[in-house]
Amino acid sequence: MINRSFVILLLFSALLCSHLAGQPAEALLAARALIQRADSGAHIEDGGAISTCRADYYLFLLERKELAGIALVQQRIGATPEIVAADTSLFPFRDETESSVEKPVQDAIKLLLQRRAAAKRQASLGVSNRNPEISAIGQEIDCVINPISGFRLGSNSTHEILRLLRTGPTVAVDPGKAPPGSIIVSPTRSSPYGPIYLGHAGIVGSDGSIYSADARFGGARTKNFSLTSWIRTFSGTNGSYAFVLHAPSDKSARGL
Amino acid sequence: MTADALRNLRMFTMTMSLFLLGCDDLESSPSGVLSGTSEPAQSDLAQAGRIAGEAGVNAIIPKTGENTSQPGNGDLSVLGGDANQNQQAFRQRFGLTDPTQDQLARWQEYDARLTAYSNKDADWPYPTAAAENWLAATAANGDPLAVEGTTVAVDFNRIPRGSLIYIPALDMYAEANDTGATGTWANSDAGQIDYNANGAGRVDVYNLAGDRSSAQVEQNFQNQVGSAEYGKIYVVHMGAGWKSGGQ
Repeated sequence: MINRSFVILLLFSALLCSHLAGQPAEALLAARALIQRADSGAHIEDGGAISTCRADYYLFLLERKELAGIALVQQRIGATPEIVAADTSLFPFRDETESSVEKPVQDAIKLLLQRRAAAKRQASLGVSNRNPEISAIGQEIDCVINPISGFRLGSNSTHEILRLLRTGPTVAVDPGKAPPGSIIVSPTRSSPYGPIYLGHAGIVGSDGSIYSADARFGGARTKNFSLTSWIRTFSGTNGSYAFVLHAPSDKSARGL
Repeated sequence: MTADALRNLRMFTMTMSLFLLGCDDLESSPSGVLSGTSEPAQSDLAQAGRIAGEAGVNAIIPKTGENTSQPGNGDLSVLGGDANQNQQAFRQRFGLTDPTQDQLARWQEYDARLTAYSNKDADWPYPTAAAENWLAATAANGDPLAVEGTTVAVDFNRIPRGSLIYIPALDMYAEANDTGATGTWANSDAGQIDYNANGAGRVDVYNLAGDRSSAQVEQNFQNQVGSAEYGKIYVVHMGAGWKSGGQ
C-alpha cells in the first residue's frame, strides 16, 4: 500500500511539474488570511499545498463547533487567491470544481488528506487509517439508515447528500415540520472571496433533536441541535431541506 | 368541437400531466423554504420512526444546564499572587462576564478532572505545545510560558488548542493554551468519568508557585477545589476562533 502510494506520488510530482510544498510563504499567508476572513469563527489547520504549472493550491481544514470542513484555495500567477471549493467533503469533486481543478490536483488532494489521516491516527492510536475524509456526516447517517432502509448516501459532502436525497427514493418535507426519522441537510455555501458557511446534515431523532457527526467529539454521532435551533442556524445562510426515505416495500410498489 | 380540436386538447392535457409529474423533483428557494413538498406514506413514516429511534442509540448526549456545578467564590489567589488580577484583565479584554443560566445552558458541559501544575514541578519548564503561543497570549507576569489565573493545560485530542473554557469550581475563564502528559492522563484516567464519551479529560490549571513547593501548590489547589476535583467545565468556544469574534 505504501509502495503504491509512493509510486503514485512520484507520478504526481512529475505531472504537477514541481513540489508539493515549495510555495512562497507570503502566498500561503495570503491564502490562509482569505480563509480566516471567509470563516472568522473557524479553527483553521493547514492541509498542505500543491503546485502545478498553472497555479498553486492550498488546502485548509476548518472546524467550528459541531462543523468540520475543507476549503481549497487556488492561487494563479499574478492573480489574487480564490476559494475554488469548500464543503464538508470535496469527494466526489463537483462539476464546477472539476472544471477549475485538474484531475492530478484532485488526486494529490486525496493523497495529502490520506497522509494526514494516517499520521494523525498513527500518532494517537498506533493504527493505520487512510480515510481522506474530514467530516463523517454522511457516514454517520448511513450507519443508521442503511441497515433499516437499504439506502446509502456514500458521501460526506453536503452538496452530494442533498443531490442524492433529491434524486433518491425520498419524499421532501417541510424542514420546520420534519417528522422524526427525517434526514435534514443544509448545503455548504461559499464564494471565491468568502464567506464560507459550512453546511450540515443529520437525522431528526425521536425526541425532535438532531443527531449528527460532531467535530467536537471526533465525528461521533451526537445530539447537537434541536430542530428549531438547527433551522435557525442554517436556514438564513445555507438553506435547509428535509426528506423522509421511502420504505423498501413502498419502493417496490412504485417499481423503483 | 372538431376532431382536430379534441385531439389538440388531449395532447395539451397529456403534456401538462407529464410536466406536472416531472415537477416531483422538488426545488426550493434560496432561503431554504421548500415548495412542492408532499406527504410521506404511512409505511415511510413507520420506517422513519425506526430510523429516529436508531439515531439516538450510542449517540453522545452532551449535558446542558441541568445538574450544573456550583460556581466557586471567584478567589483565584491559590493560583498565584496575580491570578485574580489576571482573570479580571482577561475578562475585560475579551468582554467576559459572570455566566448567566442561559449561557450555561447553551455552552457544552463536560465532565473533567481538575488538577494543578506549577513552575515548581520537576518537569518545568516543559516544552509544551503552548510555548510558541505565549508571545501573543495574555501574559501579564512576564512568565514566558504560562499565566496564573487564565492558563490551563488540556488534552488537545479532547479540547482543541486555544479553546475558551469556564470552570465553575473556580469561577474562572481560561484559555486551553497548554497541553500536558495527555497519553499518561488517558491511561491513568481510563474508565473514569472524565474520560468517558462526555469527558474533557484532565484540566490542569496553571499555578505560579511563588515560595511554595510543587507539592504545596497541589495541596492548596486540592483544598480549594475540594469535591469538585471530578467536576464540570463548560467549553464556551471550541478552538481558537473566539478571539476573532467566533464566540
